[in-house]
This record gives sequence, structure tokens and C-alpha cells, in this order.
Amino acid sequence: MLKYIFTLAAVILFLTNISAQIKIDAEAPKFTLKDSNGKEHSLNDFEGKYVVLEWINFDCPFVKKHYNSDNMQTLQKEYVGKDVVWLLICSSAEGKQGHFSNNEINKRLKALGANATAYLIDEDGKVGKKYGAKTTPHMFVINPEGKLIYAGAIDDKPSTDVDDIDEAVNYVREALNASLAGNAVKVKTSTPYGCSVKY
Amino acid sequence: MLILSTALAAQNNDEPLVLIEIIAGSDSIISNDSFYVAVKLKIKDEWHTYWENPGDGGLKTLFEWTLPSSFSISEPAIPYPKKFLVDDMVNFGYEKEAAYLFKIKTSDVTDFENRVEVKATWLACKEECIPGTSIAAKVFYASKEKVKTNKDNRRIFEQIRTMIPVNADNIKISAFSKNESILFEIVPGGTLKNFSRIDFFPVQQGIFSYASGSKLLMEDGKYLLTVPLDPMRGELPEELDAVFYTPEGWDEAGIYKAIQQKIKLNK
Repeated sequence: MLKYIFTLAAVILFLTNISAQIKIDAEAPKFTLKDSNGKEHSLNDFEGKYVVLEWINFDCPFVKKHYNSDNMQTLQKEYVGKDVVWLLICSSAEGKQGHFSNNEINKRLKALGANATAYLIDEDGKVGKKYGAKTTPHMFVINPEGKLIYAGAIDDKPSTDVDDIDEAVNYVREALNASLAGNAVKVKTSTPYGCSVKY
Repeated sequence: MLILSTALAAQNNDEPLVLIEIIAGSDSIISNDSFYVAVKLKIKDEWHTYWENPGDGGLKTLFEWTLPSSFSISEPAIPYPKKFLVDDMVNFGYEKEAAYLFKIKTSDVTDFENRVEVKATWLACKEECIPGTSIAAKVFYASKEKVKTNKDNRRIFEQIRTMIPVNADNIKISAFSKNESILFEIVPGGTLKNFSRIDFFPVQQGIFSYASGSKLLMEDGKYLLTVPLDPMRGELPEELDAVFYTPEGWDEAGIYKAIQQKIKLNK
């Protein structure tokens, strides 16, 4: 006699559709989103270039850690200077933390001195769910062939403490440096840390 | 009477998100002895803090102790968490309160007053998340004879212990990697109970897909729990460390709701 018992988690299965459309070394999911100036950007536009996707929520303490310390802006500047495309993506739904008007976004980007290529708005969360973005920050690196070569945390120190940054191994930097030099990426996935994305 | 510490919260808000206190059976100690203390977190309504593995987001609570040189302290015994569904994602943590147990050992205690202090570093979330620290301290007085914990305090510690997962050797759990899932075969000790559910809490991060749902079957005197793997996981470990919770309890009396085991993974 076989008896089925469904756990609470089984119910959750029907409520959510996060994750599972991405694989390392496979083609990164295509998307088109508008930026904070109303301009459309498609992943296709950046064929032949490295693309970094950074999930962002300005008010998340983990995001603040990396911006208040200038860590993220420095990374962005370094790699955008090497012709890498760096896209910030915000999947906060309207009314949720991290969702702002375009004016407010641009004001904050300026105040932070962000050096990203664009800030993309994904308020229906479709792109975030395609990529399985769970936290802010959650980082993805796509190579010039359009394949995903890294997905996970920005570094190996899950904390909100700015003092941890100096000792941290930055996985995004490691992945970009290795790949730009024609070497294999050592750490291809890691567990992202941060605030939950506010879908 | 229960011995409570003073508690401070490093928060600017009027009502702190998290307050902590040290609970001890007695404030008297002797040399070359050991005893338990609990650090209890009181969490503001509607907010939660995080377990060892926070789930899809969040951060575990850390404790840092300042102790007299004649004291040493264990790693915490951590209470089992509950699941929170937040914005379509699953978090593991605590609401309202959580008590962590620590074992203090004394060597040659020479001072009469012995102050211990603990700093908890936590992340509390509702919709937004706020990190913070809370500090609590307590003084223990050297005594010539061991003072027994009184009945009321014993009851409080017994209650706290029921929240700590037990390593029940009589419950046999095997794990098999199967079709992008892990199948756990659970053979409860004693009479087979009708469990309404078994909640699975992996201690290791990044292995399982928390929001993808698990399935529980009862077959031939054992439970079969299938938990999907995270498609973005790294290499599977040799051993899985996990907590299994059931509201019916694993013991005959139904007191101990959670067990924790390290299980060899058959790949």
C-alpha cells in the first residue's frame, strides 16, 4: 500500500517558477528590457562581448556593503574599461523594496558613482526568474559566445560587513580574469548571498 | 528564579528588532566544572532572523563571546528553524524567539566575579532586511560548592532542548542521488507513526532547490522523501548534513520534533 503525503514545500511548487532555465556553459537566456532612461537593451545587442549581470536593490544592506565601500563601482569601472558590458537588473515588483521611478534610479546611480553600462528594469520579474536570480546581489557572467560561465555570489564572504571585502575572493573578478586570459574558470557556481529578490 | 542578563541592542530604532539575553541555571559556578547557558533572541513581531543555512537569501546569526581566562565555551547547539515563503523564495529561520545552547567549561576559577559577554550579529528581515548586533552580559560568582539548578530553571532548559535537533541513532536514514533529486529513506525507530509531513532543512548551502517542492511517501514501514537538487549546484558532497522536522515528533511522546544526521550520500 502506497500512501502519498505532500509536504508544504510541494504546495510551494505551484506558487513559484524561479530558476532552472540556466545552465553553466550553456547559452544564457535571451532578454530585452528597458533601462532607467527608457532605452531598450537586448542580450543580442552585446554579441561578441563579455556581459556581467548584477541583480540590484539599492536598499538591501548587502548591496550597500558593496557600493558604500566602492567595491562594486571599482569592479564595474575596471571591466567596462576592458570592453565588458555590465548590466544592473532590478526585479523588484512595483510597491516592493528596491522599486523606484526612473528619476530616482538615475539620481541614486549618480550619487553612488556607478559605472555600469545600464540599469535595467524587470518589474514583472520574468528575466530574474529565467536566470533564477535569488538575491541582491546575484551575479552572472556571459562570455562573447553567449554562454553562461559564472553564476553565484560576488565573493566568498557572506556578510554585510564592509571590512570583509579586502579578504574576500571575488568570484566575478576571478571568472572574468581567467576567461579574458583564455583560461578555464575555476569556480563556475557558488551560493549567492544577500537579500531575497523582491519579486 | 531565572537568572537573566542585562541586554543591549545596537539599534537606533525605538523598539529593537532583536534583543538577546543570557539564561543560566544558576549564577554560582565552581572550578573544573561545566554547565549550559542559553542565548535567547527576542525578535520583533513580523520580523525573522536566520538559521545556519538561511535558504534563498539572508544570513545566519553569529555569536562572539568575551570570557574570563578560566572559561571556555562550545559552539552553539542551534534550534531547528521554520520555513518562510518570502517573495516566492524559501528562507529558513526564526520568528518571535530562538534560543541557542552553549556549554561553558571552567578550569581553575580564581576570581569571585566572572563576567561573560556575548555579541550576536544578526540580520532581521520583514520585507526589508536590517543587519545589527545585540550584546548581553552576565556575572557568575565563584562558589565552593556546586549549586543545583532549581526546578523551574530545569524546566526552561528542558523546553529549550526540545527545540534543538537530536541525533537519534534509532532512526536510520539513507540518501541516494536519483534523477536530479536526493531520495531519503527514513526508517523511524519504534512504532511507525503517521507523519503528516516531514520538513527538510539542509545545513549545507547550494545543494537543494528549496522552492521546487519535496515529496513524501510512506511505503513498507519507511518514509521516502524526495528533495529536488539545485540545478546550479556544484559537485555533490560525500555526506549530507540535514535536519528533519515533523510536527508529530520522532519519539513516542512526540516531544522531539527535529532530528539532525550526517548521512553518507550514495551517488
